[in-house]
Amino acid sequence: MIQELTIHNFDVEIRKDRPVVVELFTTNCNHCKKLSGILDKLSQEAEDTAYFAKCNVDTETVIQQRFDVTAVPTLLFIKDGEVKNRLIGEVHPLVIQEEIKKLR
Amino acid sequence: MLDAIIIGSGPAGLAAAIYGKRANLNIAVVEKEYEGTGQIAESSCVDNYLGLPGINGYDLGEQFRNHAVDFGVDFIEHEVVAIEKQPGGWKLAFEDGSSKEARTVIYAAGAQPRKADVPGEDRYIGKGVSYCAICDGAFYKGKTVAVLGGGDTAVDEALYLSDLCEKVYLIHRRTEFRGAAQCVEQARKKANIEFVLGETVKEFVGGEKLTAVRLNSGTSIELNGVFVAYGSKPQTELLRGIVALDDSGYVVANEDGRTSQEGFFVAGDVRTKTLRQVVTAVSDGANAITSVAEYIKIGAIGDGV
Repeated sequence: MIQELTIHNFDVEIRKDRPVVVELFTTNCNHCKKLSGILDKLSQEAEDTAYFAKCNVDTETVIQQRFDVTAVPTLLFIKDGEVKNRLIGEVHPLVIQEEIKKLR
Repeated sequence: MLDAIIIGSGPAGLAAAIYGKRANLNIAVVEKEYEGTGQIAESSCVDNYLGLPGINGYDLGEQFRNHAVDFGVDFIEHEVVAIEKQPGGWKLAFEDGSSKEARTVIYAAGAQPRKADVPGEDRYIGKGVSYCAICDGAFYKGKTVAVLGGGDTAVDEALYLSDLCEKVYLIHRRTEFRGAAQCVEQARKKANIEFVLGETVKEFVGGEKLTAVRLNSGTSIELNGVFVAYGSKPQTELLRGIVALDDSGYVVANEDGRTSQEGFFVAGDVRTKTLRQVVTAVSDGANAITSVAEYIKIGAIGDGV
């Protein structure tokens, strides 16, 4: 299972020496569940090359407002603590891998 | 050559696959989505599937899929771009140029949500335009939104949003509703749902974010978000000229799944029928693969094998 971030550790955790992918999700969203499952798998395969996490924007409203999220799942692709790209919806694992490559 | 290739991994396709495996048929399932389970995954709550009251649609879909995986069903992740009849069977061409042959096809590709298909829609996805009230509704707490459509989903979404939003416009092109009368009645009683009937949205407008919709009559409604709930359409474009479709694009077939073409069967939401639910999709899948088994058996006798 990938780590779930809160406002208390979000900024620390997204600063890694490797690409970071964060899924912003809500509890009722089935598309989010599917995407979380995909991220779980990807994180097991690519633990050393990328860091995967998720954040529940139902409860983490500060994060929701900060990234102005109005549709979930929203995927953030982060490098050096900075959001380089974002994608909305159930994104295919191959597309996620391509986006991670761009961050390297 | 495969005995049957099943197109689609929703309840109809997966049921066909499980029955097929149990009948010792050589089958495979083609799906265009990554580990798909069909439209059921989008339902927040399935309350009418026998034995599993109140189950989440995603969880139900996963259970169906796991069941098929446990039976050793082969899944092929590809999009079918062409279907061709050949001597002794069918050939499916995939998007990457590869292909697969089978003696029979079970077409269970289901339906796909309709988009609004008007200017501004793609630009404002995630910036005011949404397709899932359950997913995104909470982001519009205390705001003004519109739901587009007049089916059960649209009315349900309007009711759901009316508990969160300050104001909900229900914009429907007809003046009457075809869906469940009880829900429409409930919506009419909600003070913050305004019915805008006999109107369609012509354009989504705004700056960085959506701020209004322009209607066919020329008037505009200022709002923060729009939920498109135009229902779904059968994914049968590929089948034009191959099997008989009705005026709405559904494949004409009875419960046995037999279509106008020998060896081509259909199951689930793409078939002409009155009730499109998980339970009828599952039943279609079982019936269609049974027809396949019968077809192959008769064919084998005919071939003198």
